[in-house]
Order: sequence, then C-alpha cells, then structure tokens
Amino acid sequence: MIINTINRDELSVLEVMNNRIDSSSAVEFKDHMKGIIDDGNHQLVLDLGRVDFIDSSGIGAIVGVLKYLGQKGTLAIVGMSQTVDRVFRLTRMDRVFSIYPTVEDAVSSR
Amino acid sequence: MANTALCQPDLLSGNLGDDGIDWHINQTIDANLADVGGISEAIQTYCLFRSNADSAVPLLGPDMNLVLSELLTNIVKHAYGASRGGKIEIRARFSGQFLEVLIIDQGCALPENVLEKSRVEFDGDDLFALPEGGFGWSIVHSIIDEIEYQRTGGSNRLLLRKNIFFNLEG
Repeated sequence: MIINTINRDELSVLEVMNNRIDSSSAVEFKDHMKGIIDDGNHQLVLDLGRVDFIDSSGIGAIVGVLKYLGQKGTLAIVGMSQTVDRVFRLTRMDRVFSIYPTVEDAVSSR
Repeated sequence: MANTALCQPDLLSGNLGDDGIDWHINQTIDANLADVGGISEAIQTYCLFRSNADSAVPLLGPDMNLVLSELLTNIVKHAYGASRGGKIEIRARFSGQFLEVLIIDQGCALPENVLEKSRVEFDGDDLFALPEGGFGWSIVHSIIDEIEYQRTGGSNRLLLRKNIFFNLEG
C-alpha cells in the first residue's frame, strides 16, 4: 500500500497509488493512514484517482480512519471513479463523507 | 429490489451447478485474501468481453468484481476462518438471459439469515457508531437477482444469477 503525501498550505493531499483497496490491503491502508495522522497531518484530502476498485473492506477502513481522526481534523475524498462512487452509494456511505470531484474543489470549499 | 429466491435444487440431479451445461470459466484459488483480487478482476474481464455499454447492465463487470470480492473474502475469513490450506472453486458462464457464477468451498456452512435481503442501518450523524463492516451481503443482494445455496457432503455451493437483459434493481 503506497500513499503519497503532498502538503499544500494547511492541507495534506494523500494520493493512494494502489488500484484496489480490498480485504487484502484494507488493514495496511488503515494503519498507514493512522501513521499519517499521528505524524500531525489532520486536514486530509484523500485522493482516490488511481483507485479503480474498492469493496466493503476498503470502505470500512476509510470509516475507521474517519473515526480515528475524530474531532482532531477533517477528511475529504476526491477523484472517485464511477465504480468507486457506486460502492459508497450502495453502502450509503456517500452521505457520511465530504466528497468532491477534484483536489481544487475540496480546497475551494474550505 | 428483485426477489432473491432460496431454492432447493432438485437433488436427484446431483450437485448444484453440475447440470451438463458448460462453464466457460473454471478456476480454483487458494483461500487467501491475497488471491481474491486476481479472480475477481478476471471475472470482470470475462463479463466485459461478453457485454457492452449498450446492455441493460453496463456495470456488469465492475459489479461482479465487487460481488466476488465480497463473497470470496467472506469464505476466507468465515467459512475457513483460522484453518489453512482451503481451496475455493469459481465457475462462470452466460446461460440464456443470465450471467451465472458458482462458488464452491469446503468451509463451514453459510448462516441461514444471510440469504435473506437485508440492509445495514446506521445513523450517518453518529460518527463513532458508524459500521466498519457487515456490508458484504447487502451489497451482494443489491446486485444479484437470484441466489441458490446447497450444502452437501461438507461442501458449500453458491449459485448466483444476474439478469443481463433486464435491469431488475429496485
């Protein structure tokens, strides 16, 4: 699981470089994200632009990250493909997260 | 949502899915999480090869990728659980108006309630009560039109059917 961190002003843009967040990579993803949060990055933009597959394990891991962040910071998600967006809708998690098309949209919404 | 029928197959004809009609895909994987992705992506490719953007179900490939990932993950984690060395057999074919997928494993039996349609309910405003799991079967029921299950001789046989000519999603 490779996540690139790009710092932009007070935001941390996290680019997931894997194409699948599924049961084989979800735990590693969540642990990696917790480490990024522990390092002091709390205003997060999760860029899923290179992810073409996510299942309920992946959704659950992102929910776990949101909980771990809690009141400390914010999490926006950008770059979702149609198929990834569909899984958020099927689980009704599209109503829980702040979802934007691009990093710029997430930045200008702040 | 379409009805999901829990049908008892005609046991005189033997095992569910062994009906004399050819399966175009027939793969056996080790029951490891690392092996789930490969076969799920292969099923997506198979579906894309046999359907197109004009079909009633343009998301057939990605949807079946998702369904396989969910079900195979469940088999690895729950049917086989802590036991090692299990195998899972996956078959697929287009038959009449349906895409059919058959999954066979030798793990624990399926809990009866999962074959009933269900939803994971949660309060979107209550952060710490948000579920982090349990969505697998509700996703499968949202996508698959018919499910048959047979437990025989220590094996689980799960047959999934998705109508490719009509979109039955409610």
